[in-house]
Amino acid sequence: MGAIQDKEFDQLFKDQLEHAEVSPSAGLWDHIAAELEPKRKSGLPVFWMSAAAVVVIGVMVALLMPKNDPIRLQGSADEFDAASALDRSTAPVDDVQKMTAPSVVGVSSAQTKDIAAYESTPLVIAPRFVAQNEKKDDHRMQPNTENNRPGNKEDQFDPGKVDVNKQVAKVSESNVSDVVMANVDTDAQRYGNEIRESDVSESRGIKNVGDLVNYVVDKVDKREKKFLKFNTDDDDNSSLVAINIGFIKLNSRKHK
Amino acid sequence: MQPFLERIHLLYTKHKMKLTLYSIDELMEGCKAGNRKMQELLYKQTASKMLAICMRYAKDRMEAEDVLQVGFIKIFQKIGEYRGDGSFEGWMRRIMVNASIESYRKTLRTLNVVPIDDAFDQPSTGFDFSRLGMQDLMRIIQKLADGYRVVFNMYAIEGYSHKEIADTLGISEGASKSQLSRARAILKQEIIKMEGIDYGSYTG
Repeated sequence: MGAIQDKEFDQLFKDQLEHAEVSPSAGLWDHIAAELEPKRKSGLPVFWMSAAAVVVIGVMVALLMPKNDPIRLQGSADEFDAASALDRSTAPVDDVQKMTAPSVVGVSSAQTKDIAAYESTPLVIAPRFVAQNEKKDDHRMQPNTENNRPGNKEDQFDPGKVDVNKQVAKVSESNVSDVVMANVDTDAQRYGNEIRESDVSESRGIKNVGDLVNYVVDKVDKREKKFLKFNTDDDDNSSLVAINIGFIKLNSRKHK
Repeated sequence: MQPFLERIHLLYTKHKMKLTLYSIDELMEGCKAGNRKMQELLYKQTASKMLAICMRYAKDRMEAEDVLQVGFIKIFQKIGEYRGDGSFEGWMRRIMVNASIESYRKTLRTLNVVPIDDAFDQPSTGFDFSRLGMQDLMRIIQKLADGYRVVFNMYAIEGYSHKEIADTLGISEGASKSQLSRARAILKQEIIKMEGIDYGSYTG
């Protein structure tokens, strides 16, 4: 009995309570075990969900990209020819009218193409043709396209083209764009066979979903080991043979 | 030492035939490996001590068992971080205390606790602690307002300084001191009340 100091008071509580024991309810461990359980399993579904998300995003990107369509290949070839034809036909009008030999047309156009295209028909070179001219320059670096042309021209094309050129010379400036479209058609016919071949080979490639995914992945992923690779056959069967998502790499033995 | 251990082992084998006696460090290693059986054994061996800690900080058994559950899950998740500084049981105790404080801080955020100020006067009379058991003290601590209870526990039993309490709870050191002294005052009053009842029952 008697007044008690704070320290003593605290110590009495400490002595009694610090090492006290209170038995927990019987079922409590089951709750803890249940809460520990799902954390182990959650690893795999998360991985598959993320893999699926990657595929979905890849397909979305590929579908939204304007370049992924095979038709585009045809279209770009047309545009290239149209652009080059435009240069040859519309730009050096005076040259063509004077010189009748087709081989000379090719040479002269090759020389004067760039400058003449801009100088003589400024209205034809609307903004959309600027891009085509740029593209055309890339192609011109390759020897193939230039060398093929003169042979074709000699056989069938030149007379028509000269006619067109004359039209261009006559037609007023407002109608020039129509004439350009005519040129596009004729050139497309000229290169029709070539383009159709590539088109067929493209469409032969994609027969089922596996092919589509492979194609899309090929567009998006330039690595040797794609992040997804399907093995496909003619019976519309496809099976996943390879995955490469950074830390996860799966490669079936059969897959080369 | 040896006969003592043998006796314990005998006790275990007598009552629970299949149960092998593991030291707490063996259990700890098993839990580090993620062994569910070892986790259960560690729980069975330590749960009552840990629950007593949670009870001091909680207002009732239900709240204490909730905190105990959270604390044990934290122990199993963080057991890889235990580097052997100090005893493993001490490490477990700290996790339980932190879980209790965290729980208090959560309730603080959800409901604004208004401290009860009616027990301001310091009782001058002393008391006979010998008659007060652990359960009595636990009960009167649990009757304290949440803030008083946490500060009293942290200071008087865990041995935190007022600065540490202030930092942990986000209050000033002065507030920690005043809450501690109010907690003591209330506890003393409660003890006198209990002793009064006891005297009454003794004298008839």
